[in-house]
Amino acid sequence: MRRFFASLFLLFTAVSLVFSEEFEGIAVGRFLSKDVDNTMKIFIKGSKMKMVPEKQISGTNGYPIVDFRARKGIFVFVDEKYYMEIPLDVMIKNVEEKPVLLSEGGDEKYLGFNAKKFVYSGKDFRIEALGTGELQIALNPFIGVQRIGNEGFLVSASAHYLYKSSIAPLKIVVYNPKGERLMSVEIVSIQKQKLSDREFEVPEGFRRFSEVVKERMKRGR
Amino acid sequence: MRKGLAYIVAAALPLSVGFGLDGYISLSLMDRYYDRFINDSSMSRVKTEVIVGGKVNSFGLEARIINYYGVGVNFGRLLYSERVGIEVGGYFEVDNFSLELRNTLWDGVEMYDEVRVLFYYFSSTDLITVSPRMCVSYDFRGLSVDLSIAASVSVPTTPIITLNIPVSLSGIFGNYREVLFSGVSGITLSPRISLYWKEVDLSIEGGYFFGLNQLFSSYPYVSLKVGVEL
Repeated sequence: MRRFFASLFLLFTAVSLVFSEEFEGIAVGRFLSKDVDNTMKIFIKGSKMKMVPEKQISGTNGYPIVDFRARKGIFVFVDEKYYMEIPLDVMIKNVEEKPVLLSEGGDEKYLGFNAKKFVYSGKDFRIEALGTGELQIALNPFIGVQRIGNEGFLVSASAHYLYKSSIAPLKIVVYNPKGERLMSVEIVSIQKQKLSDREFEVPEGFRRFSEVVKERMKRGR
Repeated sequence: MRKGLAYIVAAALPLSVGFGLDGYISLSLMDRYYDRFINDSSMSRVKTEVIVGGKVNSFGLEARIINYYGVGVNFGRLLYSERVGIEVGGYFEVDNFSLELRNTLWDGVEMYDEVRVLFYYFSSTDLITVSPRMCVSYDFRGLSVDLSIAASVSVPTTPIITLNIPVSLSGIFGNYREVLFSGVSGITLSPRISLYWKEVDLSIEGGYFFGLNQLFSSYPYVSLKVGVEL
């Protein structure tokens, strides 16, 4: 009897470990707004993420790297070979202080996952989202979208609501009261694969922006 | 015996080694307008300097050759002056703290020593810098002290754009320019916009010195500087 319960406990632990394993792999996302149509490669390993856009954003060739658990993030400027800190802790605080409370809708199949629909209807906008509990993600992959206007904040906050509910956001669309699409982010493909820790480090030879400024200011004396 | 050897080897291993050597040449034009104490109505000055330096870990050495060419107007007469200086200096930097010691020889005769203590504080996003500074300099005329604090905002564009707003309080002690004076001479406010490309710097500065003693005239000045990394 004792052996039976010991085996059951071991089996339960093993199963829990398998299903609680955090996602590691590469997703491709598409961002659409009135002025922008861009895709990005999202590298995820546990609570670390690197998001590399296909096209430059506002003339800047760069990408963010974040560690969600540590609440730290940097933006790497590829051409200039420096990086600067981004206020990830402030961005997380923003979406947690002003949450978007989505209501659960029906079920849907999306990218081979069993996904759930979520909706929110407000006076000035409507949000539709899709998320799945079949992916264990340890971060909000759309935390940075809040920088792009009010619609961006709604996307970010909706994704955060899903993340906090242990649901991986797959698609979020914001509409105006007329039903016109204002902004959307969606995962178009996702692939599990092992990633090196080096993928989430500052590239070799890159300096911190403050060091570059400090050095140039010293010269200007 | 083995333990002793291990300790010797550990002591010989460098903690970290970094070496950099760089050169820099700059040209600056400065125009000052004042009419008392120095007894000039205005003065324009062109400064050319070449800097060569190297750094190992937290210590650095620098050598500069500085040439000042000035044109002054005194009661309608044009006066020209030229000074050449050779400066050698060393600095110690750790994190955001910097201590510099410099010695300059002007025209082969006049010695000028300077000690600077700088500290940099960066905001969490690296965009805002606050840097208090103390500079003590000494030459045959006396001792002068500068206490300043500068706030700057930098934008990570190409070029990097920095707006720097320093305020400094100057004091003089001893026989300065043949005047026995000890105390605060004035306050300088000197906002500056700088553009930093990869090898080229461009700065435009407009300042005003507020004389706090009748011995020291207030005067405005404007300065343009271009620097190129060698």
